[in-house]
Amino acid sequence: MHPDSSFAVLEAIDVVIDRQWSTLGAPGLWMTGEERTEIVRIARSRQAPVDADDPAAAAASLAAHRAATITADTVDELESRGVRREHYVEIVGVVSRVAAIETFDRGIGRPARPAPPPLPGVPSRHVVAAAKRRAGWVPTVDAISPPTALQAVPPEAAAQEALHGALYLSYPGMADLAAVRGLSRAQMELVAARVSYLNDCFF
Amino acid sequence: MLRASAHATGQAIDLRAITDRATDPLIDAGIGLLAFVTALIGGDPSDLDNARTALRDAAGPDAVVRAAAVAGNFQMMNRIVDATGVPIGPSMRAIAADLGLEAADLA
Repeated sequence: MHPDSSFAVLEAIDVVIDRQWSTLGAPGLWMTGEERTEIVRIARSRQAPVDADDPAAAAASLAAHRAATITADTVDELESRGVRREHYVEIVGVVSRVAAIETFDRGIGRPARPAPPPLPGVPSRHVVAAAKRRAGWVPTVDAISPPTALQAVPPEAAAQEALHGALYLSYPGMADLAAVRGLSRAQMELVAARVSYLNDCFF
Repeated sequence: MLRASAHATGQAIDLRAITDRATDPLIDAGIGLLAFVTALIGGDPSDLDNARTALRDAAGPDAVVRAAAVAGNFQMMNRIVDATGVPIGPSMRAIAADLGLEAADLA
């Protein structure tokens, strides 16, 4: 822990991120624990392959390090190489959570975490019947939006929501434009806007 | 959300600060927050140490933790939005000019 960090604030965040980090290597819907830990490794690597023979590795590298360059054609091509859209959604969920947790740790001056261990088990390959392609590139149950983008893989959508609530605001809490949470809402949004700008993301 | 939250609390804001480091955002500790985030997202580790110390001195240790947390959240959300093709709505396109962005920059 950074010596100047507030223990109470950190504790509330750590409850969520420690649990999420420790289970990144658990089997998902479309990947084994070993496959997910390989996705984590690629997400953490500064020398990640861009044109890997393994399309799942290529997807992870793109989502982790060059997400702003991904297009509908990219996702189509990955699908043609065997990465079905739900599998792709799980990859995006894993790499995006790695980015969140590592950014937080680095921000408060914490050393990098040990890699999460792969856990035994088999992917459930559960298909969410109500998830369909809509305006975006992946199937969703509701109209695609930031909170619904991972709905085709419910555990990833739930993890995204929990992390969003711990690090920023709950989805319902976002309606409170005068919220104060260590920072004023305007200060939080200034941080958010600068991060998005630096990532070439207009979100 | 930045402009809306500033309006909700009567806070003045200069949105150009998001893209132009020479502009003061007019928000408390805003310059320190921008320096911290810039160093955190791909900056030099020594720059980050200095920016963290400056932000802590200006706004307190909770501000450092919260700024790191919010930055982490948007690292996640940016990747999700960009990788899944979430469309950009009309309201977001409308503020592009305030940020000095061209329409072609928007996916």
